[in-house]
Amino acid sequence: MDPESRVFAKLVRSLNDHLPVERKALGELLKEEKPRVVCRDGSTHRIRREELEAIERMVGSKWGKEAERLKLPILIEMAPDYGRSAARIRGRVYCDIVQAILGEERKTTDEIVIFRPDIRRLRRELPSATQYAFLISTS
Amino acid sequence: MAEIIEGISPTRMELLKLGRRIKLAEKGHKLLKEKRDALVSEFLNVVQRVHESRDSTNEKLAEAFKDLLMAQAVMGPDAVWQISQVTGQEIKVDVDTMNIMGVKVPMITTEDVKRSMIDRGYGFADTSSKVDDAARNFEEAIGEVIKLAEVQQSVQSLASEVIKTKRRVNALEYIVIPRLKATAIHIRMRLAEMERENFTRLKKIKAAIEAGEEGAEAA
Repeated sequence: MDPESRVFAKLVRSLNDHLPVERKALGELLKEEKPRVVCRDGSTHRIRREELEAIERMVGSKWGKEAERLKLPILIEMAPDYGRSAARIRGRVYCDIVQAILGEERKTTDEIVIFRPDIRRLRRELPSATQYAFLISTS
Repeated sequence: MAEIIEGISPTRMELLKLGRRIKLAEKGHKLLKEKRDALVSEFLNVVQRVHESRDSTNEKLAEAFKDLLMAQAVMGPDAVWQISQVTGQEIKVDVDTMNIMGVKVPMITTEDVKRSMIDRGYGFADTSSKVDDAARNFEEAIGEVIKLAEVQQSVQSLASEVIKTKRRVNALEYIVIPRLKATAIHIRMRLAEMERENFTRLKKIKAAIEAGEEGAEAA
């Protein structure tokens, strides 16, 4: 890897230092007294119980036991490929949660792209159960 | 035009290196801009929560103080003070952190601070109902004050991170990238000039050689 790429990789790493080392399952988090995940920078990120319960209500009926295996926090992937301030949500269950919050009836897909006002709304509803991830452009 | 970077030799190798550095700086700039936008949006969300929280805290406290004044008017300030001394004054709060794009903001949770009339610890017979109202409203206000403390601290932490990120974005946008581009232009111009100089020199050498050959032939 050339020095320039190394510098860039370091920048991307530092921007994503707040992401969890390992995401935890919804069922596991609900069992914890203080639901939290450990971040890459060594700090802890607490997830509000009310948000976990809200997520469980949103997807519980449709996904049943599968919902308990849902990994949290939900990642809002800021992908420059989709344009400025566009974010991608990947995973069928995650897309269902986001659509339930935004009150949209889209076709169920594995991936949806949302823009700034929707991101704000999503973050307002689930401030601790969602996290931003910064991705690099493939071009 | 921006200043050029001192001490860089005008070679094709340096030009290639500069090209790579410009690309890298532009990519970094794009990413940091995304982070700045996300932070600003987060900041605005929290500011809105501060406003809402402050309004409801003020409302609850105003109501509680009104009831307290009424209770003091009915029973007298000393009696109310004595009642306040027998009630429990400890509230358990749990302070944890939430990580928003590297900004550690507090998350304060508390058990329900609202107590029943029996738990408050004073007798019903010789107290006014206004004391109960005041106590209930103050208990509700405490919950709001704790929420307000959390969002207020979050606003401060996010604001300083927004400033820091903005400074980095501006440094890249207005200093680093223009300087790199100016240096690349300078090297390109210098290389073109060297090529022109070389061309003229070669022409002169060729003319001199030709003149020399003609002289030899004439002799």
